[in-house]
Amino acid sequence: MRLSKYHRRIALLLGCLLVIFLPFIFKSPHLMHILILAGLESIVVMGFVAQYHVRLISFSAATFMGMGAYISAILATKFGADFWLCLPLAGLGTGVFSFALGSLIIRGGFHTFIMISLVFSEVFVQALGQISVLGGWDGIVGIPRPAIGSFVFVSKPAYYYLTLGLTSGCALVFAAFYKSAIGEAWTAINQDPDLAASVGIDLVKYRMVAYVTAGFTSGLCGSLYAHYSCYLVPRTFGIIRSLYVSIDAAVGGLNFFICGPITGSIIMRALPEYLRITDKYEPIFEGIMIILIALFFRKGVIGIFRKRSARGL
Amino acid sequence: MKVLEIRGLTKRFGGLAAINNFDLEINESEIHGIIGPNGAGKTTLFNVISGFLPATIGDVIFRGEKITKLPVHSRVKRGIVRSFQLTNLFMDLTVYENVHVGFHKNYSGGLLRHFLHTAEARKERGICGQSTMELLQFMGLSSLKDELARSLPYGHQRCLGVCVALAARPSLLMLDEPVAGMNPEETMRMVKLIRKIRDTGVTVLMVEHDMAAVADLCAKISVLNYGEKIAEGSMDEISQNERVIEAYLGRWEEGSL
Repeated sequence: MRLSKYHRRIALLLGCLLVIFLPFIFKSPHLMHILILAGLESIVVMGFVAQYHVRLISFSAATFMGMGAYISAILATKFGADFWLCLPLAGLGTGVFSFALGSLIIRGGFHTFIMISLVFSEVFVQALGQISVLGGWDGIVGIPRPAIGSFVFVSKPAYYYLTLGLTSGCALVFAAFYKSAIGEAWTAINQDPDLAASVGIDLVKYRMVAYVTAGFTSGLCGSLYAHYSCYLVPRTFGIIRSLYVSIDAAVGGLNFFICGPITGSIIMRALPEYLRITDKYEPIFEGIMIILIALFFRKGVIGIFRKRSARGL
Repeated sequence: MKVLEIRGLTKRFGGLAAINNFDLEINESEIHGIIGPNGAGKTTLFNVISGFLPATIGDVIFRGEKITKLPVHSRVKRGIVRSFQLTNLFMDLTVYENVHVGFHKNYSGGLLRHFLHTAEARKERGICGQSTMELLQFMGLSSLKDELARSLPYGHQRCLGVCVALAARPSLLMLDEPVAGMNPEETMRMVKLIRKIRDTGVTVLMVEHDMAAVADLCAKISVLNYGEKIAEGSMDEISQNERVIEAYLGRWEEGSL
């Protein structure tokens, strides 16, 4: 099933209109809630896909989101900082941390990277739980909601538009990378790291760019998450969430750097809701659905509509 | 003028010396061949020169500069580019994209420029696109530019591999068995191509098993056996050399049957 360029453009236009006017069409707060979470998660998934594209498989994708969330929450609750200050600081803090960690583990090679990222995701959760200044296992409550002047973001549609803005912003950042010489180098590394090195591509440098960008955007996403849910517990950002990020990426399609993560996140957030009719067997059905997608749509859901070798945004 | 100089190079894997106390000198605009039986250490030598493996002892000197400790991409920046024996292409990219990536080292300046898509960065990419087309024409591949590398016939794939290496603007091009597995016609085309590349001023260092191609191309040949250089000279000289004959055919001992 392939769409012509013309049809794709019309679909894109209709899609954009739908996304913008969605809160007026579907008034269900529950649906809004799912979309907000999916939108936030898709930012983390975009980061995961960028890392995957340079052959870094990260098991700490959600950890960086958690780091952003906690930085933001602590700044807001302990120092009374405004959301609009917390948001960039959370991104920056997470970015700086991922730069430091990345420069240690990316040089180590494929296996080192996977193992350390796996360990790091658990260490992070344990650290949050054990250190009482960071809220301990009970977490942090009472994180203030974002506000512009006297308007406070409380309703779901308000958060929906906030999420839409952040997700589009991060998508644009990633798009700018993929469309430039940097993205070209990423694709070369994806195809064959040795050959990429042999034409003069600095593997460590380009991997760092992907890693730090993922860290930065995940931090932003975490910050908004903290100010949306208004409370945080360490377990939210554990290894399970990171695994879900990788599943989202595969379901959407790993060769589609932006629409893949968005589609994957929405499907994986919506799936449990629609499987709720199966009651306690829900996880089983969810597992079956994932296996079916993995078996029959190797290139993910977006891959169904595209040529076999297609790659792109 | 010497392009590449190797002094006392040794590469050990554990206790095994894959290359042992190896010396080599390559002159400007020369095609230098390296031959030797399987397992003689030719590919290891390539990996050490191009930086994929660190040397245990000894020096690699490129145009008077010691490069023994530099990473791969820095050596490429200086002009040492290699092609690979087997995996020599970005298989899921088109012919055009393959070569376009090859030009990567010609981008100057920081990454931020590219991220922001400044006018300068776009202009650089435009020039890169032009050079790509020119190079494809030079290599006779321009009619195949939108084909996936994966779908090309073998001979063209090898040719494209050389083309990707050339895109990185080498002054020393290292070819690992460029005609291996080719039919006589493809071999002849590749031999012509290598000579054409040399004529543009590129120095070529090649490892090859096809003796006809080596004899045809190489002014100077080094013979490697068990990691040591056992002979060096023109094809005529080394084909008379006893140690070379022994390495390839084995020693005939009285009563060995």
